[in-house]
Amino acid sequence: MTPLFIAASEFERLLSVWSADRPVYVPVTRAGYRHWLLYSPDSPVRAELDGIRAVEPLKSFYFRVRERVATYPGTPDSLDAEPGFVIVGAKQCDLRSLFCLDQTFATSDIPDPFWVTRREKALVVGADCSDVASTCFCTLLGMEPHPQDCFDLSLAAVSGGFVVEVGSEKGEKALRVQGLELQTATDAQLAERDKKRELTRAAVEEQNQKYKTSRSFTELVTSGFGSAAWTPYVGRCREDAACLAICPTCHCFVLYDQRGDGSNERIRVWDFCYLRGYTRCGGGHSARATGNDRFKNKYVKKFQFYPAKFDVVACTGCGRCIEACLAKIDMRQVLHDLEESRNA
Amino acid sequence: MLNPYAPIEARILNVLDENSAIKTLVLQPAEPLVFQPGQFVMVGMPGVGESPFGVSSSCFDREKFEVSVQIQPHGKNTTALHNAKPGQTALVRGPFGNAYPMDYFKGREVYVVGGGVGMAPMRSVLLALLHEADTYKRIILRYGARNPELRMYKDMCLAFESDPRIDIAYTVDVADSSWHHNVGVVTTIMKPEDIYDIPSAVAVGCGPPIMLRFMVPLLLKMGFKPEHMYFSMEKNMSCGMGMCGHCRIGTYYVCKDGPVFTYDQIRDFPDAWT
Repeated sequence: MTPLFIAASEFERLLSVWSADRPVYVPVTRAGYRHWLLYSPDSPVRAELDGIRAVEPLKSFYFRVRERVATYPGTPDSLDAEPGFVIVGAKQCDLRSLFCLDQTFATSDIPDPFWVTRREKALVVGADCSDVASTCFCTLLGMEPHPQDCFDLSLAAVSGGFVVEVGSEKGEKALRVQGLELQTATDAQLAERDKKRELTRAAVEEQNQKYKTSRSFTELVTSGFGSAAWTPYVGRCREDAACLAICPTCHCFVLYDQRGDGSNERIRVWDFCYLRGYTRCGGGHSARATGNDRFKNKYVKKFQFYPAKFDVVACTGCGRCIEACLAKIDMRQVLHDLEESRNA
Repeated sequence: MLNPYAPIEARILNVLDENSAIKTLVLQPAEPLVFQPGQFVMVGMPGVGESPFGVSSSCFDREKFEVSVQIQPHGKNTTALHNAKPGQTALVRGPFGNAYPMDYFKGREVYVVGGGVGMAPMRSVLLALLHEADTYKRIILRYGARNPELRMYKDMCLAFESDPRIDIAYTVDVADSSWHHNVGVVTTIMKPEDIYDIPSAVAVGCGPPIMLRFMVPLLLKMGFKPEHMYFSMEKNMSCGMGMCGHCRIGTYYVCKDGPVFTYDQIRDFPDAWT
């Protein structure tokens, strides 16, 4: 579909219309960081669509930190009642994460109804990155810092408004608002968008030059499992799992049951493979009993398991793990060291 | 859309003492549970939780099924299952995972090796083999336990001693005066002469990781092909559907791609053998 142009004021009107019947979440800066906040036309919350991704990964809107997934005996909670939500301003590193998690939660022969229903109902509006954080590395994974996957609509800021691309039928429907003024984007507007995109992409590429490897990350992790390059990082890792909690593609969880009033509940809560008890079995043995096994596990899951199983790397280069790490471990450096150790 | 986290109810028909640590629960689910040997189910008590168990009964019984539960220190669910009484309601999800390729086994010698509570899924395999014993070339069982008291399915094992359809050898690590079979770990009763036609024979094993680590080189030495060595793997599992991430080894989810794997599928993954 031909790219469109929407003026900034018209876009504000669009947000206001969308927010009439469902929550709209937009990125807003608080204390120097971008967070997802609930938009309301009557509040001072205004969408900030420039810059980089928000602190919180998108997964938490669909796959909640803690959620009741079954009640027994009794009728399960109805997902039909959920109105759906709108995400405005998602960056490519988060959009790709939705694709990755679709592989786990939606394409399985037993799909997860919570993920699938929320994915169906949600409207996702992507936005170009206009900046780069020192931790960003999407280009190392062959991605671009503008919307490529899983968006219903995408926005690229140009003079006076946004170039809009439609990514799905849902996105097309969301633009059917009475009196909404949309024009076909002009060549000048598209050129402005492309120039900005190129500048951002070049900035991401330039800062990641030093981390570039000649072999793919998948090859490095698969062939480097026994490498000594892991050792210094294993010693530094605090196993606090901050990197996993904040990762947009990590999806581990554990189920537990609790007694309620007259019935029982089954609760699903996020879990993390860096925690010591994660693989412990009834008999006491553990598949990954040492810190060494656990540290490598994240890399195996993202760069070996996911490509083998789903043909996609489960890392989107968002850099949240680098930012969150107490031990200042940089995934790019770990992977780079794996290559260096091969060449040594 | 079906909620795969919601359990179905199952009436506890009987609770059988196997030994001081293991009880077998006979369960009648509210909806028929159609499974194949090697598959597992999640079983729990209301409000307590659930745990994965390999089904230990015959897949030809569609009315009820059995799981053998080893009580675990601090294990809330295994304790609750051990304390359960006939007539109470348990909760079930499943069956999950793949199964042993019983059709492929037809016409071949099937070498079944069980260790400790790993005998549970092996029992389901043995019952399926014996159900159509004529279609398999030979059925061989090698079963080891820590001591005579800790053996499971004692009546079944005794009956096998006089069953011409199955070649058995039993062992315990530590014997008592009642024991008249071998003493030693299970690999001490696994001999090359157990198998007549090694190129076509299949081995089926389940037991603690330490047993598997010693059994694998022995089976290879006996001449079994890596793709003919089948193991039921045990890993920590929460969902059973390939979502929670816990049971992953290498490029597989044990709950979904397994729990039955051939040796050539998993030999390169270090976390498979711990």
